[in-house]
Amino acid sequence: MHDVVLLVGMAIADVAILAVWWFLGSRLVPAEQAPASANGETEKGVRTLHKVLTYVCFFLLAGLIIECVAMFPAILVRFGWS
Amino acid sequence: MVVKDSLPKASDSAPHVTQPKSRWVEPADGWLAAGVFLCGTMLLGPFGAIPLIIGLVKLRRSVKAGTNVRPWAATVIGTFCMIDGMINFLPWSLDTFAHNTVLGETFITGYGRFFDGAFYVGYNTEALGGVANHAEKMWQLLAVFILMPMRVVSAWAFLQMKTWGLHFMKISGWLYLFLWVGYTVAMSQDFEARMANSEFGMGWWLFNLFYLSPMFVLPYLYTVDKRQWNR
Repeated sequence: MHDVVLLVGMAIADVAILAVWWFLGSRLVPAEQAPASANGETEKGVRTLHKVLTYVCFFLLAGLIIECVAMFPAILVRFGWS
Repeated sequence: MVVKDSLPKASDSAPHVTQPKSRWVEPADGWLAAGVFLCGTMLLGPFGAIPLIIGLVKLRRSVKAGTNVRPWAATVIGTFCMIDGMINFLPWSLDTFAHNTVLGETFITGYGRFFDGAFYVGYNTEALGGVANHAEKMWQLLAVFILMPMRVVSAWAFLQMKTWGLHFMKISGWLYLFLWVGYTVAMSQDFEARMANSEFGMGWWLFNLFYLSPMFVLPYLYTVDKRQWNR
């Protein structure tokens, strides 16, 4: 019985993982043309999404630049040359 | 055999106006490339921040003036991905190819002492040299030979609005996600040998978040107007 529970659980997990990828795959290929009625709403959503992503990526970019600038000097100050 | 058409065309008689041809999509892209390259070496990072910031400021000004060709979002995302690819590609290359040099050993073992014990415990003791941890070596070779160079060139082509740049950004984005998850699991499984053997221990988690680029970049790549990438 113990094995059955685990095997059924595994099957459910596998189906869920496949379903997530089906969901993503079916939505990540944009249609050539959206329905006319959906255009306004879609464009507004996309604009907001792009704005948010730009802010997030700018923040991450700033973090990486700080890392690039500080890492080697910090290593030399703390440990010196090997 | 090809027979040339000898009839004059309408365009032949029109005055020929030569457009000044720019090497890059945006004139300030040279600053951007220099900054990303210098920062990406990590060793010359302090010198790279200046041209990088100059490039970003110039590009932002051109966006405000309305003279830009490339959207600001594409500039930020492309630059972020390129610097991300470079700072993974070049330092890992240092460990792959130059682990016996003073510069390579200083940087890599210094990083290891700060964040990840695998980069200094038993350093240069295995067959391939450099980091001795087998899982780390596997990720390293995948990154140096496949993913990171692919990421760097695709980010630059993306910034130059090339069709293949957008396409390769998507492919390398998915590969990056694959590597990020695998690497994070490998690090966590080896916690005692790696993070626990470093000065900042859990500090790795903090800056690992800055490498989560696919989570933020893929949604952009799949919603952007792909007709703009037509060079």
